[in-house]
Amino acid sequence: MKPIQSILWAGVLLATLGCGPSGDEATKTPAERATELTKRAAGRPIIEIGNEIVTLRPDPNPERNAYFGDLHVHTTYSMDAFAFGTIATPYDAYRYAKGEAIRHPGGFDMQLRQPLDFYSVTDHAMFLGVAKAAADTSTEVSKLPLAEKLHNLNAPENINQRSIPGRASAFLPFILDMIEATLDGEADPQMLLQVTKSAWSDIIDAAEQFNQPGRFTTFVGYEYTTSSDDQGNLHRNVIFKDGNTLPAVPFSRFHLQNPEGLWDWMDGLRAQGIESLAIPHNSNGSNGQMFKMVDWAGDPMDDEYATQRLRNEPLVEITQIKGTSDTHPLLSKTDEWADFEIMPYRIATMLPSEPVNSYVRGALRDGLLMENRGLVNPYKFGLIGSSDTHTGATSDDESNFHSKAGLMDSTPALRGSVPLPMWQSLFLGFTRPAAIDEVEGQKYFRTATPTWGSAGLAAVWAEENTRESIYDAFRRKETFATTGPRMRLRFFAGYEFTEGVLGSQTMVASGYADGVTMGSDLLGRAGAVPQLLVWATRDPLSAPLQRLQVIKGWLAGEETFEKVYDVACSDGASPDPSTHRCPDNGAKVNLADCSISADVGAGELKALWRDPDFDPAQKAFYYVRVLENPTCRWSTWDAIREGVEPRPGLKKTIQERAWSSPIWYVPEEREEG
Amino acid sequence: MRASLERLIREPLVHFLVLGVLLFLCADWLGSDGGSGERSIVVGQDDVARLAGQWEAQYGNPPSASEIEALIENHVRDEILYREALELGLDRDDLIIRRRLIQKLRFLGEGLARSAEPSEGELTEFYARHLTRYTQPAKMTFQHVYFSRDQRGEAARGHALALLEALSAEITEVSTWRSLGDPFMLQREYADRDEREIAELFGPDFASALAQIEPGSWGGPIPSSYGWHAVRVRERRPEAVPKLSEIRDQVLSDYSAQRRTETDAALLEEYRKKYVVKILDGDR
Repeated sequence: MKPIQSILWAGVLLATLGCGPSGDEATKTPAERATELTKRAAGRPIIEIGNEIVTLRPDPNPERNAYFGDLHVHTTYSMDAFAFGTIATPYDAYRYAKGEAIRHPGGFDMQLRQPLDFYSVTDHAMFLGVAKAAADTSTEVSKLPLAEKLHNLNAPENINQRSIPGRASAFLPFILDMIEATLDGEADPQMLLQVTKSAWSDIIDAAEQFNQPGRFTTFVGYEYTTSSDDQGNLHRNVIFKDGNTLPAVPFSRFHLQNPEGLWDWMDGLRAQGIESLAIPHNSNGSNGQMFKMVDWAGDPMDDEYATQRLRNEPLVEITQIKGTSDTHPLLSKTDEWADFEIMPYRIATMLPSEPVNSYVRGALRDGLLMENRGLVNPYKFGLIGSSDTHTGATSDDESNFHSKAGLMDSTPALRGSVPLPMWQSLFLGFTRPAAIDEVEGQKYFRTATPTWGSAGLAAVWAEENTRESIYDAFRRKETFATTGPRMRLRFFAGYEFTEGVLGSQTMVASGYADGVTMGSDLLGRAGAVPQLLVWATRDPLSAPLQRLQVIKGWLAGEETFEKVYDVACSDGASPDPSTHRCPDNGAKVNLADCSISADVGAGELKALWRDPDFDPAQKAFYYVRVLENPTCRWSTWDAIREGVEPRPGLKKTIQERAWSSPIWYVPEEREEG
Repeated sequence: MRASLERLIREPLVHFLVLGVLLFLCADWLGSDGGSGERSIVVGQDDVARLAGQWEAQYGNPPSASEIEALIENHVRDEILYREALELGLDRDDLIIRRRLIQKLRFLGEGLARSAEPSEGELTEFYARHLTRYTQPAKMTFQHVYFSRDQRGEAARGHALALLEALSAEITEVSTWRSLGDPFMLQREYADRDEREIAELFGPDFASALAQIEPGSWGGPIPSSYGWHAVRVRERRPEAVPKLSEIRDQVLSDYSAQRRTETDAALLEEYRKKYVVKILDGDR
């Protein structure tokens, strides 16, 4: 039936039921009128509909799209962010993620080079909203004597450079006084809980308001901020699958120092239908505590522990502003790219952090050791990056780095990338000589910030930009991490890819159909060597790609090993079959203005690769790393803009990169006996 | 008699008494209702009703007689403390009070701006003056066939050109376009993207070249950050300016925002006329 006829006949039906028009047309029966009108229309549409496309919610893509986001963002509700002068709300944070400019406490605008696809505000649950309430003299909390030093801390006339020393000295005592007052019963815990509840519900409201299925996804989340007794960082971000049913108060360090308690709490919520996952971050600053082989009590991990940890922590944040946690040069001596954005301190201190058990690659290797002991592997995680910004705004662009600590690192001198102005170095030299680092005759502000970097992003392969689709990708571990640029990375493993697959339009379809993707297990097959299908493309707004690598970790006997293989090179070159290294592509950076070599590097790199050292009996994991050509590090950009030499001892350039989640090779079960 | 009067006048006790009486009379006169009235606190029935209303709003039930008594007592106490504080000048040099008063004055101005609903003419004029703000960028719906520079090197452009020729000579069936060229990480067709979005996906060169391609048949080739592309622009929606009726709410809110800023500035200008501002040269 033609559309016009169906419309008319529907009208007839309505009229017969007594709800259609009536009046002077009553002389003709509805059926007669319908026949007449059909004739008049003579096959033409009554209204031209045209071919306008509504793209509010694009069709899902069964081969999945890459979406980029940040799952680690602090706003004014985080106690420390507030102390840093951040007044950006969760609403401001989401506006920023969608491409709008927001104000940095240092007085300038921050805006993304391109908007993000998903974002989660993850404020510290401990004292959530309390600093903000203490500063607001109309609240109950502000009436506590200990709150006085925070009164009007972020009033407009107080957000400036002069306020920095006061902020630093008011903040820590405030936290300690508050804890003491709570323990002593001077501060009513119910009053603090009320503040936290109302901040939490505002955070939820903001996420709900900005979530736009198909266009922009928000996740309700928060940070569980705990550490070991030796100040080893054990922080985790908790991300909730949806925003309808949520706990009234987030589980924090106040409830328990031991993260196993967090998992119990999440398991309990899951039993009530509230799904969440926790993402550990800054293992680099954990002083060897994040990826231990024992549980909190110091006992060997058992299957129950490993299963619970993996159930709640399928992902790890490998890169962020406070450094990259892939691996450390001391742990990966044969990896020439291991010395990348190493942040050597325990978090929020300048104490050294022990590298062993603090880096992702080591944890992946230790996981194989656990399996070898017949135990469940607790370290079978996928990878993401995020920023950990404390200004509400991701800072992922080296050429426009605004760091993360608000006023405290709002200028190049405060970030330690350029020397202190004369008057400041004189003043500090007199009042706080320990706050000065003297390098080659120049005086720099002493801070951990020079070891921080402009990073990173979380990326997923998902059918569409919705909470369900992206969260499912987290759970599948079909995720990758970048240090900021929007590189895209595909990774499949299987046995039946055809030799022509790399040039085939059905490459991705056969990746899914004939293989497994990042985050999965590849089961051993008798007599067969796995094929790894690896494909990366550059960010058109960043530098071209230099090389595509596979990082392998494996178990032989009672020991684990690792090796980095270049599998595709730019500029038509191929890896040397004995060293597994690409030749130098000669890409250069001009340190006078940060311009880079034109016409060197690749738009895309891909390979169908077989491990030349493959042993079917050895447990192994493989993950992909892709490197850009070198570009200026943020500290070099700072120096150029200030017209001074880059600070000696800091790397002048970096190679931005992306990492895939691993694929684990699981050997065939051998017959016992 | 005269001598005793003179003695009396010299008597300190008398001085004291006379002065006391004078002071008493003065104070009485100043403090009476006949004066400015600031020494009396009058709690009227309106005030009591307001206090009771606040109580009810907070606790959900009206206050009892004794609670009302306590409310009144509190109110009186606050009023006394407030006036005494004013008398001592505690409101001066206080940052919080200063900011609050400035805020209140500004709110007054904002109220003025808000109460003035724009006429249809004013709104239309505002909309016309800010057309660029409401202009939506041109959007393109397009398909492309990709020839990888990394796979084909310098030949990539030639291969794209050859495809375009084969398509126009109908040697290659147009409907097979999806299976042509090299596999592409991103999508092969995009709907309704503006130039900025296209630059984020393909690079700025591609985006500006695409804007020059006539909609309809296959054209190009044009270069991207990845290689060369034969492209077909399915549809180009030109830069569009929505009608006032379509975005009335937005225009109205922009209008009031601007009015608020203007009123604020105008009021300040008006007040400023009352003052002479002198900035002294220090020894800076």
